[in-house]
Amino acid sequence: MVAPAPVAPAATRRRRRPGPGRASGWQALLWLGPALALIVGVVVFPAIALVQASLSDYSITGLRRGSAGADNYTAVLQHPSLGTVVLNTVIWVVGVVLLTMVISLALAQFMSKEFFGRRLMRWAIIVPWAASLVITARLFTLILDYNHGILNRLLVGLHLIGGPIDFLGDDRFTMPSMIGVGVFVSLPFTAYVFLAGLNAIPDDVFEAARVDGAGPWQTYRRITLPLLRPAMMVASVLNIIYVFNSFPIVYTLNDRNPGYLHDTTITFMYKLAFKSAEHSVGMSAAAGVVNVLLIMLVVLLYLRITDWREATES
Amino acid sequence: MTAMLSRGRPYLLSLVGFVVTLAFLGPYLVMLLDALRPSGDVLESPPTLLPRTWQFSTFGTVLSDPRFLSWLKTSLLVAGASTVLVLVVAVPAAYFTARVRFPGRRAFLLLV
Repeated sequence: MVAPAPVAPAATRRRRRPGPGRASGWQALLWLGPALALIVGVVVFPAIALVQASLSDYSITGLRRGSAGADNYTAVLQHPSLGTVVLNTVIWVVGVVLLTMVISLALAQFMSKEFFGRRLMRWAIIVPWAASLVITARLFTLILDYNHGILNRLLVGLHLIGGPIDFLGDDRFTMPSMIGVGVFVSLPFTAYVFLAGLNAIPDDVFEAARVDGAGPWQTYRRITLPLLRPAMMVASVLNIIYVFNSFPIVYTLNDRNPGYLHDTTITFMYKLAFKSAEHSVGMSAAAGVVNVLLIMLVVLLYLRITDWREATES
Repeated sequence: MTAMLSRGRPYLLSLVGFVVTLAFLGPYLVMLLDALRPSGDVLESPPTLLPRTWQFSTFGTVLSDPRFLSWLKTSLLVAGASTVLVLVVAVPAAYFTARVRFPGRRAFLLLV
């Protein structure tokens, strides 16, 4: 429903064609009606229901018992695990998005080179994106397992580690393992956005840089990166939203650990309703509202900051 | 030295490309190999990359399971129906918004 922002700098905003057709409100309603109905049905109505639920009191079985006022919100905001969960979310989002962006830059650069086997590599890179997240996450619980995981066997065999690591049970390794898998599934999309961005840069710019005597590093820093900026903006904003909202990886990899020690706000919200001692639909709905507000705030702040940089640079 | 480097470059690129390919396909190869062994073998310690005993009947079992077939039908139905529905609903709206000015156009775009 939310279309990605077009990858075009604001300066080239298309001029209106001369004499666009005009229409009355009724005519517009006829054309837009179905779309509006769908949006109301799948976005507006659930949003209203969510806010309503967050203000209600539910029994453990999910029966509505009446209004709860702001009780659900205070219960969520005063939850003893909230600090850990928010900190986890920050580490998770920043870790995954930063690593994804840096690795994707290198990957896209490499994907644009000509060599034998490039086709196969480009196909292979799409696979984690095409595969369902739950499948990939479940697969990684097998690969990373302490007892029968193939990764430990491989690392021990190569003498990189002394003994097997409990990637999903050891508190020091759980978050890094989740971030690793998160990066793995975020790379395809990001690398392809960057590849498209790289391909959109005309060759004569590089030729001009070479004629002017710019070295490879200088060309990359002064030409490639600035021209890749629109692609980086789109990729980072979409990644922040996806990674923040990502449920399957955090939930599946962290399935066996009790408590909220490695949960992000999204899995926290789920556990409040279905897995916790609280079993509270109302609290979960309140957490959901907080989540939506949080991600909107983060994205707005991010756009503000990056715009501000753009303004000071030029 | 430089001549040697540039002659070796295609091979180096292909080698790195192969490593990247393997890194992205590796986990799914493990999945495929896990599919070709009995489930007890998957959870046995120490793990082995190749199955201790090969079992090719798994795919047949899954594909002939009536529950799996009904889930597959549901998936295809949901995916197909939502694609068709979104196209039917979005195409007229997109066409109209792009070609015609009308009151509330800006508000509609914002909503989307």
